[in-house]
Amino acid sequence: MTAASELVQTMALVSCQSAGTDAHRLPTVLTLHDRNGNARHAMGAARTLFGEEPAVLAPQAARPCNPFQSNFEGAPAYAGYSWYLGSDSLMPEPASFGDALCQLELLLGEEALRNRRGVVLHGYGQGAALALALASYGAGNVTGLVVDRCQLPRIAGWTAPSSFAKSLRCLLLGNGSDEELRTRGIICEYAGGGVAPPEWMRSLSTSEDR
Amino acid sequence: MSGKKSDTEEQHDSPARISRRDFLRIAGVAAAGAGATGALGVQTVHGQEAPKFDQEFDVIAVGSGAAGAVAAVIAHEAGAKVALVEKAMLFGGTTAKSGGVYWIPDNRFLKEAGVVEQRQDTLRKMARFSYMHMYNEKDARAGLPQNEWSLLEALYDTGPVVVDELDRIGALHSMPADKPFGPMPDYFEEATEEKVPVDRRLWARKEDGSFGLGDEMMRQLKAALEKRQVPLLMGHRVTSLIRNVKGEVIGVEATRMDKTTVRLRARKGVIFGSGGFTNNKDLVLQFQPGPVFGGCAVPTNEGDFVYMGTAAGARLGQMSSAWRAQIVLEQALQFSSTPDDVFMPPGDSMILVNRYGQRVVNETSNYNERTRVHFIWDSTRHEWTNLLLFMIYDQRTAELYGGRFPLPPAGTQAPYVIKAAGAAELAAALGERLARLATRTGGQTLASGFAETLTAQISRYNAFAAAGADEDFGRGRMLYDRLWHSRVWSFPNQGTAHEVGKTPNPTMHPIAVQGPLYAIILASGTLDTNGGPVINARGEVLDAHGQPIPGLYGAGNCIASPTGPYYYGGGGTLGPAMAFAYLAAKSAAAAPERSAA
Repeated sequence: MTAASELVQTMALVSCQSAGTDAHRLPTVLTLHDRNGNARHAMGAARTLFGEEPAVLAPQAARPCNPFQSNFEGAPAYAGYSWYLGSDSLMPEPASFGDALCQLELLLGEEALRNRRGVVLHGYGQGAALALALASYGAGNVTGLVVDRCQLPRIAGWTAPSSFAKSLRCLLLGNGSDEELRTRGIICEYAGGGVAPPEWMRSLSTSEDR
Repeated sequence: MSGKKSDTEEQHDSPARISRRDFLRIAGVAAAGAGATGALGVQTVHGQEAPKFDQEFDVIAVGSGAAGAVAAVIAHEAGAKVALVEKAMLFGGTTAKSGGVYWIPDNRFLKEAGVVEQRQDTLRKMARFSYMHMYNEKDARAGLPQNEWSLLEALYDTGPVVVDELDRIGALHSMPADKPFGPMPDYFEEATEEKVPVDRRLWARKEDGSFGLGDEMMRQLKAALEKRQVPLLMGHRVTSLIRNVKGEVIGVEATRMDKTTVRLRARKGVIFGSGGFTNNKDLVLQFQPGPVFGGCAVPTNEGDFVYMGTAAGARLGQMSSAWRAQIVLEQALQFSSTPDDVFMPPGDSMILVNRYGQRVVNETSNYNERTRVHFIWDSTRHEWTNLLLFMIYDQRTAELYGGRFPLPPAGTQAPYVIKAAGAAELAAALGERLARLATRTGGQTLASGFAETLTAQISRYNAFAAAGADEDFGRGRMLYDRLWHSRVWSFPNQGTAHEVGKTPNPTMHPIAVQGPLYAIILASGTLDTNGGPVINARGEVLDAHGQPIPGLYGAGNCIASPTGPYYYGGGGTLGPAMAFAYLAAKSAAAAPERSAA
């Protein structure tokens, strides 16, 4: 792959980036917003969840939910973007879903995400669906998942591969079933079960240190 | 050059594990597979025995955007048994991701507002700009051939009818699009024939009275079809027209996602509303007047009707035309369907320059006209001088208008934005970026002297901004420029240190020469193409001799645009699509049943 093609692949996404206070000891968080989300809100949510210690990268999807959003007086100040078409995050329109996956896989190869502690994919809704799909391809140096639900997207004609990293850990923020991930060898834990995300993040780096 | 990637590009683009092409194939994009267009054509039934069909209908509508959906619902209302066939798995086509505005002259909302539109004035304006080289104000048909004039008349007369009819049957409720922007002019209000002071834009009205965009428009139309139990055959790509021995179209064959085929009988007619050919690299190369880097049309808009229509003997028209819009080059190279286009570059301390650093266009002119400047061929230099344009702006525009696409919102950054301390540094950074993109742009570079020319152009622009008059391109002279700039595309952010309204021309403010300066690379794109088989005022597809092909109808971006290449105003795409879908549906539903044998 040429430098030019790598550049083309990674050039289109708006993003927020934030250095952590203990970034060198922790995985970097790649946080992916939901449908009608944006990078700034995703950054805020990630900081609330993980604290100030890890570095966080919050890319923003390119599809405006409203072509005229916030562009006129009286419009809501909030500007939302979507990763892919389709109102149900678990039933994506395939072409736009594929575009998003390709962009994010290339993003995982970016300098900002070449952390020897790895990358934790964090997402809600569409972001969670993409995080799970990316992890299923074994993309990047993903060491953990933090998602609100753990069902892979359903697309007729597509089956998610099972190239998950060995002993990949997943922290569930919701109460959904984790059966689909467990059958694929992923270690699932529940934030609602007393596991706090900052401590969970630290445990990822601790286990690697061992 | 088109938005579709070649095999080589696909290999370069594809990261190690995930293939975009796999998902395109699943999405129903034919070009993602082998033999994309070879299967498209016509089957003619021979012999006495009627062919076997899997399902039978009176009318089949192909495509689920505004044209296909309106055709389906109107044909049903006219008493026909109807099916809608859609190539993609998602309903709504490009309409669903659009602003959903439709341009309807002489509509009832204008009348209710006391606006009296003179049919002849508006028709002559339409004729003048759609067919400028033929226009003759003294001629009864304004100099146009009979069919072209009849199409304009049909649009004028039918537009208001279809809006009222859809409202009456509860299929699509409309409202004027003068909220929340206020009344806005069409795209060339200075035309001498233009007598209507406000625009003709409508869009969908939600149940709560608020306005809806393209997704709401298609939600209402889909609900109307479901309520009428019209079958919506999703994931069905129509690959063949089926004709009887008399040459009448009597059905279609479609290929489903699982590669199985289904034959659908259409006793009265088949209406295509299947979109343009933005995503067909070959058609774009062969027919468009210059490089097109991508577009907003859904990925399945690959010009299938061009192949089937011509195989049935249809006459093609407007193949070099499109609804044009500038797009961010790097986005276009990264998406199978460009998420957004640059309707109007935001900012007042902003200019567009070419590779010489020269301004070449009124930056606030409408997207369709502005994008045409990319196709200027310099016969002295032997090059597309404006192949790429560079949107140059300063800190004021970055802060005051951040978040108006393509400017990234405050607190975020975008890799497609190039920032530098001044003109010389910006030229160097742009040159480096272009070098890295060279394999995708034909090796486009900046000309020597770019920085010096840019500096001189900024000084000249700044003098115009201070005086309030752009002596080079008339930026901000027209009401269109000023209102769409200040009310919509460059609506300022609150809470910045910058002031607006202090310059005599609201679209122009001096660019800070001390820097920093920013640049974004823009390229030519489309909302979609608008060429294809030619129709008449009944929505019938015409053959090479101008005679209707029995049983074959069309509307929307898959046919030769009845308004030519000209974009009358906001909704200039969807208004005609709806009007001719209505006419096609009425004609097809009233047609005699055609023998299958």
